[in-house]
Amino acid sequence: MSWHVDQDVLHRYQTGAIDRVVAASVEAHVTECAECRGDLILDEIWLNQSWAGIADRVEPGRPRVIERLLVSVGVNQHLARVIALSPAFRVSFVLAVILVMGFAVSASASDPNGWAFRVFLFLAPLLPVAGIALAYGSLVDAAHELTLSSPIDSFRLLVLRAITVLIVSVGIGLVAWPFIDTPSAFGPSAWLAPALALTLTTLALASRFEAWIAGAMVAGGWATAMALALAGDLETFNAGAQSVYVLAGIVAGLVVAVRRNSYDREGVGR
Amino acid sequence: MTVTVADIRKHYGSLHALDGVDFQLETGITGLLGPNGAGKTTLLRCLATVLAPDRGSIDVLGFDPDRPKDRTEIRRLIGYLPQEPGFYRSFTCFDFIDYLAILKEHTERADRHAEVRRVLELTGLSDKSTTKIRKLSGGMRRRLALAQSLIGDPRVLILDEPTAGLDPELRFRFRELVTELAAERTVLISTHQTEDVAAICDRVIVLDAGRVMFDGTPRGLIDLAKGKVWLSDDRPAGARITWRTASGEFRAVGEPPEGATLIDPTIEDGYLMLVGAAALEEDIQAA
Repeated sequence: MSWHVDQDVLHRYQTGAIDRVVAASVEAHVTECAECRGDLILDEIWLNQSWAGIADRVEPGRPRVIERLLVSVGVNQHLARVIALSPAFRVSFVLAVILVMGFAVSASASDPNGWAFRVFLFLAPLLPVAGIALAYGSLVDAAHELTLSSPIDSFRLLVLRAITVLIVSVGIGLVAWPFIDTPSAFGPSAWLAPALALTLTTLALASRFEAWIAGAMVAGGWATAMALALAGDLETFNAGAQSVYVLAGIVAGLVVAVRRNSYDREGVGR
Repeated sequence: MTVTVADIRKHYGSLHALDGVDFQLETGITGLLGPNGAGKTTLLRCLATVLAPDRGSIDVLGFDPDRPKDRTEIRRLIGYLPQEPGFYRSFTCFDFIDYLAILKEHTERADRHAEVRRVLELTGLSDKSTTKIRKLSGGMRRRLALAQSLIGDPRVLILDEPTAGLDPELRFRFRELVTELAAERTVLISTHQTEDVAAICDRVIVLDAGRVMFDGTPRGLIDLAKGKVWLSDDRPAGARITWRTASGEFRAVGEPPEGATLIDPTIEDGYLMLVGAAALEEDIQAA
């Protein structure tokens, strides 16, 4: 190298008191010239922070849409990450919910008060159950063992995911509801109350069994009850039955609360 | 004493996975040896607070995993590498470790990212940080699993077969890393590799059928086969196990005949004398 950076220029470069064009020229030179590079007095802390800053731009993947959305409404970034991994936001789950609701809308138009509505009443409350069955456990969460052994509150995690599942499935259901041709005696609570009862029952059973087994048990029980009841009329969903669902939901909710410490370890109470 | 295990029992139906296990651990590396199905993984899962034993008590750094609050404390202080950790295959190494660091309560973003970089560096995965897990080889995934166990610089490390699937060079690097960490920490390693135990463990516990069969130094385990290993020109009858060596002689372990050429035993010989030929054959098949 036949020329070297002027000491004054070098000093101004280091203190940032230099325009960009000259700075770029200094950088191009010191990349090649070991002598001038040696004259640079580096602030190690600043340098490490700079590298960390660059790495922070490159290494973390772009957060999911849901995570960014949650952060934008004020949810903590770490909490948003945990919630965003909920099965409620998996395309397959959202599609399943939309399919069931779409079926109810299209079928009820041609078959009011008939089987389409009954099938809808049977399927709709099972959607959040399916979501919860997918929310937690070794079968569906590849890193379940690692989750269990970490200090995060597993019960809170399950509840958070259950809530997101409920929000997504009930939300889509409520959007679809006005388009479903229903007998006048039934409001949205016809399926909302059973949905809540089945969801809480699934959570209660999940304190003892794996979530997917709990979900399967609830689905099986519900299918049996419906097979017996739906063959006749829609009594299963009338106002009297609603109070039974609400009561069942409260009981299941109490079980969940009492057994809240049974969700973060296997082999408890079995 | 950092870890105390007192008479823990765990059964699955009629199978007694753990049948009254007792030991205490201090700083240093302890190897847990045993045939498949001996209860090693069940024991480590109990220590990692993932599985509740049916009976008996565990104490980790003064905390009792049966108490919910203590359980959380233990989880803050341990690093655990499960036998089958499970990965989110669509995640990059960085994002996966970052997610697990969140689960381990590293909520401050910049500090967490620095910690993720530290553990990836320790396990030699820095240059793979933006690689998706599905593109990693088996050995790299094992290192990634080890990396997550180091998040937060835990005081107790529970490692279930950390060297399974690692090539010799990586195994040496693993030994280097773990011996460095063990200067101030308690490390419990379950393994099939008797060489790992001989190389790095201060202490070895042999588990068979849910019971502790041996608890002592690797030297002590080797000594169990002292005077029980010999070379012979023909396949000897009565030996527990015999194989033909590269030199054409037969190496035998068991009760030697009169006048046999005794040789120095290895830790494998000691293990064999303890656990029996059937178990060793099972291990060879598994490997």
